Amino acid sequence: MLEKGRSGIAQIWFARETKCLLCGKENESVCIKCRIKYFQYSILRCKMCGKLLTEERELCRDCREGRGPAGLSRVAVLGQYTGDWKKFIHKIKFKGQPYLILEVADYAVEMVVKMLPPPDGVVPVPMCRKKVVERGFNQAEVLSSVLSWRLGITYMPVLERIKDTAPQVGLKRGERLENIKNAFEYSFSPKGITGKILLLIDDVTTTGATLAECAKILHKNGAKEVFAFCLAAGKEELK
Amino acid sequence: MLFYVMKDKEGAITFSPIPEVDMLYNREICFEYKLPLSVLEKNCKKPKNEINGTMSKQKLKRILLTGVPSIIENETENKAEFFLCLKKEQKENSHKKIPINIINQNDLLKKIDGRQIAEGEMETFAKQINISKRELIANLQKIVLEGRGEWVPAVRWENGYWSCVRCGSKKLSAWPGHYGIVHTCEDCMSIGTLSSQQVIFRTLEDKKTKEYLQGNSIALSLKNAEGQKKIPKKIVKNFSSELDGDIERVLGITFSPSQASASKEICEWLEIGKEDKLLLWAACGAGKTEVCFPAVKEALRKEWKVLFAAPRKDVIRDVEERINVDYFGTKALVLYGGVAHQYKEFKLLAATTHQVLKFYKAFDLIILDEMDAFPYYGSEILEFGIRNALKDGGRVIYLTATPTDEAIKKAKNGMCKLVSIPARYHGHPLPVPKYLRLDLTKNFCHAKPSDSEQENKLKSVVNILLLNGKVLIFVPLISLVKQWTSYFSVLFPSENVAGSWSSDPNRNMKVDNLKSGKYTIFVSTMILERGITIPGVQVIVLYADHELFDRRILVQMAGRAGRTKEKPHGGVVFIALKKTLVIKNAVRQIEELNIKAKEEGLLEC
Repeated sequence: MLEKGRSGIAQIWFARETKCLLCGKENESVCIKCRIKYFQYSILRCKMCGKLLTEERELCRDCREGRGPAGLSRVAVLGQYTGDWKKFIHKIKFKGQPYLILEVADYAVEMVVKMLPPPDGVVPVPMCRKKVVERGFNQAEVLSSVLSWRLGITYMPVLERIKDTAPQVGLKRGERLENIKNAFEYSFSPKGITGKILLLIDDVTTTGATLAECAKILHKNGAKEVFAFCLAAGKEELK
Repeated sequence: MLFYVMKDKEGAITFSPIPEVDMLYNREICFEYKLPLSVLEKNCKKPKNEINGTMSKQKLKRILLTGVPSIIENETENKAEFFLCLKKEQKENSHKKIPINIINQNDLLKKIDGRQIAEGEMETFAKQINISKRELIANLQKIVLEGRGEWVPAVRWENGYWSCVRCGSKKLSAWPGHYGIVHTCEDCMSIGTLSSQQVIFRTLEDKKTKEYLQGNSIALSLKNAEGQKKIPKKIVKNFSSELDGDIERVLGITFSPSQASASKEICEWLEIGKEDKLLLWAACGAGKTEVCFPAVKEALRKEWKVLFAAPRKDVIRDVEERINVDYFGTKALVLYGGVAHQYKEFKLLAATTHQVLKFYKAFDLIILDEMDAFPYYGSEILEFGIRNALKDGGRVIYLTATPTDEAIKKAKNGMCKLVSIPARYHGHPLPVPKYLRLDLTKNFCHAKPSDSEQENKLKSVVNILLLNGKVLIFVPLISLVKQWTSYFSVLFPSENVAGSWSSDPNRNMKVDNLKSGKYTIFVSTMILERGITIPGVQVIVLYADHELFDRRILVQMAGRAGRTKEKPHGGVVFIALKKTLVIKNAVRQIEELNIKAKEEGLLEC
């Protein structure tokens, strides 16, 4: 009891020292160096799949050649999926620290406001229930509830996963598309999604296969336009 | 990991992650949901909530699902229906349907004896012994059913608090999970995150060995009662002299009289000492580690499990080289950060204090080197780890050159035995630091040589020390290292000047070069403060009045000088503007040790 009171008083008197979540050095939740290194504001994103581009173009090579995800108006991405940012996302996903999403929420909100038009609802990409049961949470749901709260947009969990799919990691493009096919289903929502602009949320995107599959279902059920936001994506490599 | 609720024939409740194994032991599932162990435990622990298998399903549900969101009630993933609706015959055969490879329990137990295995570590362990994770869990469950191990929630509800089982920390962050509030431990994240959704497996002491040990201790106490002091002492004396001969022959070390008497004292304490802790206070460079070797050998002879722990990786790596297989008769298992955890049988373990958190009631004797060093000193979780890793009735030897005031107080109060070695093994006194008054901030702030009086003073001091060997210069801050390195390289163009600090990428290489004698002037922060022997080194401490330097650090830095037999003399100079109380105390402590050594006749010159 005494200990608790003491720590409570300490919290009142002393500001809690924050350190950069990525590099662990500077006194900011994500320091300016890491923001420049991983969020790369100056670099363009592919408008269709969200990949970070090294050239000044609108679309990445895959999307130019018609292999991009269909049905998405635009994908916004916060950072590049490498180094400390990758480690950070792994911490969230696999090491039981979903509350860390709150620390980067400001940057996510900033990116959504800057890159995407205002949507009517936030839709998380669902995770198979078995995994939710094992992990205790779905990081996409956590992120979308944070965004919905900060932006004042309705939270609409209208999708459901009906197929247990193997993780997309390590699969090739074609295999990914095949793997994720018919994995989702539209579940009833009282107000419906007809004519609405929706924002699809996931943690990481690479080829955009999962996002495209979700967008397909949403369009089928009357969504007007579907945008997507992810915490991380790959960067296009130039040959 | 999720747990099923099982009952045996009498209705007693147990929890199991893999019910097929429990069915072999005539247990049945009696509750339709599976839940994290922490939730089940918490709900059962409340005083009114005593449950047993004969209760109605409604009541069980009411008790076990308190605080759990209702969302799980409709999810098939949480249900144990598959097992509930099995018929009796099918139940008996169910373990055959789902093939579980039960491996040799004794082999497995030997590998994991004394460890606590977190859920996240099971995958790597299963790979090491070539079975699947599920099979490993099944085998562990079998060990649990035989009463030789237990599952515990990694973060547990105890006495009204949530606390981490591995590190004892109450600093947790809570978040809403699928089964109610989940707590993640913030303190031991560096060796793998734990949350209340996860479980830890740990072994319990085998009943047989326990009985054996108890029998032994009774016999010992009888012996003591009969012959009070006379009989055991003689035995010990004979024995330790035998050990001395051994250590000379095998390791090539000759103990000085002070070392020999200290090592004898430790062996004696190990045999008949009443206190369960011992503080070995030895001067810097007295050969603390070697003094403990006979005691370690004696403990190993008794088939005790011994841990050699130190807070720093460098010290463990140093000890690893010194542990001689011929002498101890066994190879030591070595664990520190960056090395993959090995699940092996061992008798002697050398590990950093962080790795000790992975053990539970595993050791009879723990030797903790440099107990006053960062990060062990002042860290509650590491202290908890050491206490947790010690078996009931186990013993701890603390080694240090600069004990904290608390430790000395404890020794004086009789809470732990104090053994001290005031002299170095080569019989020369400790170099007493000299004090030089220089205003470093004013005249050297730009670190550019100017021909001032102050600078000439510093130059002459360094020149005198350089006559005897290389000079090691300590500064309190990393930013000062570069500044002074460049300053000295200009001031002494003919010397080889270098500097290093904790996060320097070339640190290991530079330290090796320093040891081999490549540099003649070396500037560093406190990284070289303890545990390292550099032959023939002279020490200068700049800014000795800096607030970061306390008495213990100053004594340790002074203790770098004159450690080897070939070059037992060394000069130590503290340079500061003010002769603070800390400096005075440090000098006094060294002088006191020298006086004590002289009184005991341990000094040769």
